[in-house]
Amino acid sequence: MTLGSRNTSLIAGACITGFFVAVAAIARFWTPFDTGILSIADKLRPPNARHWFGTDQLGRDVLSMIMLGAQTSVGVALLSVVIGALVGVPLGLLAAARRGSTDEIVMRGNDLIFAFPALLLAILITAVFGPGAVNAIIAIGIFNIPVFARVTRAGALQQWTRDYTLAARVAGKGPLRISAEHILPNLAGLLIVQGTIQFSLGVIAEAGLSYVGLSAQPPTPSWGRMLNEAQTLTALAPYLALFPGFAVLLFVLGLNLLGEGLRRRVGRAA
Amino acid sequence: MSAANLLEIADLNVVIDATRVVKNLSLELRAGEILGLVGASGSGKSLTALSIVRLLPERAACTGVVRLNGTTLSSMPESQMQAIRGRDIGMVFQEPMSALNPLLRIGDQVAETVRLHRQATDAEAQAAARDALNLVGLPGEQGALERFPYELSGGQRQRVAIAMAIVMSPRLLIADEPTTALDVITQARVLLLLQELARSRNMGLLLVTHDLAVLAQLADRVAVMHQGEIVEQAPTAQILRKPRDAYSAALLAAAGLQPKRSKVSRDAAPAILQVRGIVREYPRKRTSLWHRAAPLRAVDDVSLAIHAGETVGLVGESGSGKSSLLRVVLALEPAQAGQVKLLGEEFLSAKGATLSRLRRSIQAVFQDPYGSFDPKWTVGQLIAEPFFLLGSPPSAGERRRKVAAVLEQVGLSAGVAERLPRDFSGGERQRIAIARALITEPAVIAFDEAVSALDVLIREQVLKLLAELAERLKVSYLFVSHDLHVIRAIADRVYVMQQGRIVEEGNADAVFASPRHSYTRALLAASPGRSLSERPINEAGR
Repeated sequence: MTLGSRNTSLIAGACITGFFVAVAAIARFWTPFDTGILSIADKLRPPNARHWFGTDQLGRDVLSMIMLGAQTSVGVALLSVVIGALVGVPLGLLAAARRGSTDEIVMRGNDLIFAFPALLLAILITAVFGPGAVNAIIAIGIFNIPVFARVTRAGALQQWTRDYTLAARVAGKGPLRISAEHILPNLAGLLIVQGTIQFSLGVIAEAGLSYVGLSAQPPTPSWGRMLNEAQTLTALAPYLALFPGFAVLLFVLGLNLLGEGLRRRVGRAA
Repeated sequence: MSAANLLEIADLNVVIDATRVVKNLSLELRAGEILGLVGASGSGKSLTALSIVRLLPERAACTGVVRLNGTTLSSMPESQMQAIRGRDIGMVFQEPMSALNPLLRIGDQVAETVRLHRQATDAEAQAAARDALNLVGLPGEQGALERFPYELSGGQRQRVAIAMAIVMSPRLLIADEPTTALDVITQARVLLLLQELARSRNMGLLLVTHDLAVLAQLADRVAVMHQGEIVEQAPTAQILRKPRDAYSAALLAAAGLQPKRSKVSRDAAPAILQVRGIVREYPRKRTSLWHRAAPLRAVDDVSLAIHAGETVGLVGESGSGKSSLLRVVLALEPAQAGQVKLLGEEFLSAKGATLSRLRRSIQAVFQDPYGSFDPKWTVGQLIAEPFFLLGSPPSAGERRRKVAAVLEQVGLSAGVAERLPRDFSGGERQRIAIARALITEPAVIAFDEAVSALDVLIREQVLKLLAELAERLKVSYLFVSHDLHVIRAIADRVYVMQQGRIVEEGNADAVFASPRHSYTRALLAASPGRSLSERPINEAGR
């Protein structure tokens, strides 16, 4: 049955995503080892009963690092989605409600941001304002703005063709109030799907930025920097690259499955 | 059963999700005969048509025997069935846009059907396509073959769909609501075309429709379907004169639509809505760098007036500017010239509190019963939405009481306020829309094709309700429609609109009895219901 396959990607995606978010939440309060304490004697241990994922070149527990890295990854990606949605959605609603020159200005502004290679500009921003998690959030968030603006505008334009917007205007409501009361709630499904997709892109972008050293700074662990540091030790300790690599891969896969599952659900309901 | 029958259906049953939607249906159709299958939506008429060509949805289970010229279709392997569809049985559906491939020129589109069923060279297929399009009135000399579907009007698209259906000279043509999406004049032309084709090619035509008026002009025999069963089957003239079944009688009465209320001239009453010299222009895309394109004038110097308690009909075919005019009158779109006076006050330039106060006196019901409600709001919230116009909105309890009161006025129970619009049928939704329009106790309600999307029986009920409400609440209506039946049934006075201008106005009875303008006469002549009362039916088209 087609129904089964739909539910499969939704359930699998939700489970994987939920797992990573839970891990990030747990890491806030507890990790198997304190990654702030270096123990050179224990360095570069392969995975064993005590250190499930082994230890790195400074003797830190890799599992604990991955858990804390999940926290950075979820935090940066989530906040950048929030920034993108908070700015992009109102812009899209405004463009669709006002049309004309407002629409042109908003959408051409979006094109301007789209015209730059995303990661490159993110590097520029963090290079100018200094590396760090906050600047990474802003840099990634800026690229989420036009995505949300476009999706919102397209969905809103479609809603505006429906007679209920006329009915609301006959009831004396202006375009902005109709956008907030009628249009936005009807776009919720669409935006949640887009948010999930942007979340997964954000995870990749955060890993990319921290790989080049422009996101969260040491000692805050992050998957990208773990990959970077593992690079020189590939021959000696391949598992150091393997675990953060798989973490990124699995998390992004989970988010994409979730997005796909949600998209089908929303499509069916509409 | 005689061998002369082209199509024989015996004991057809269709079951969807454990519901029997077609019950023990038997039908016969001779070559050259036109059989009308009529019923309300959900009566199983379309499913019957689809089960002949075995195109039922996958969830549906079908039993029974379908024979075409003695060949049993119902037990045939799918591969052979594919050859039959399009070659021996042509099909025309309701929606002419979605039946055509938007990326194919119409000549190629028709030719493709030929190539699917016959070994033919490109030239032969093109020639066959040209002939078929000629036959349906889209001559190839005028470049029709080269055009894309989006360049054609609704009626022309339906002609292309018919050309595709007849290009292989099928023995049976099935047309499912072929004219429902078209306006009256186009509808009359398409119906005439179908009739000519059936007669000249000795082709059986099964015409599926909800509108008995359409069949009156056209069909030799009519089968009336109700809840999956054929309740009556007889020659058209007989059914129209003396329906035996109660349901057929109800359908007939609805299609005839006699005026329901006493029509009084209310000229003496004060005009509550006065529209003077309205011009509405839409900008067109500029084609030159130096000059603006001349705007499209949708409404051209239109004036009209509505008196207290009066129902005014505004009639015209699609594209005549009546919806644009309505939007200006509702102050939803700006006018380039002219004024609208509501209760003696200028409405279009009103602002703030005055605008809110005036808006309260004019409310509207729109065409699409599915699109005119926000799917996320409950019925109670939707009906209460116009309370926004009140300076001091009523308290929650007061609000609930008022919503319950208007719901009862439109014949729904107060309990439905908690439910979402998707739980309701088209007719119920229009009742909800009427309730929403009534909540501010307006002086005028504007209806934009408000009953066009409804089945005839439901349409009759809604019109009855409107007539009742008008009597009881002394509210005036501005009723915009392309359907003369509807206007005739409800309006005291009519305005006829063509290409943005009012070409005729007057007392409804007078205009319908003796139209002065040629366009009004054309509209009346094209209107399918005319034959119900006036002309001998079995003589149609001979």
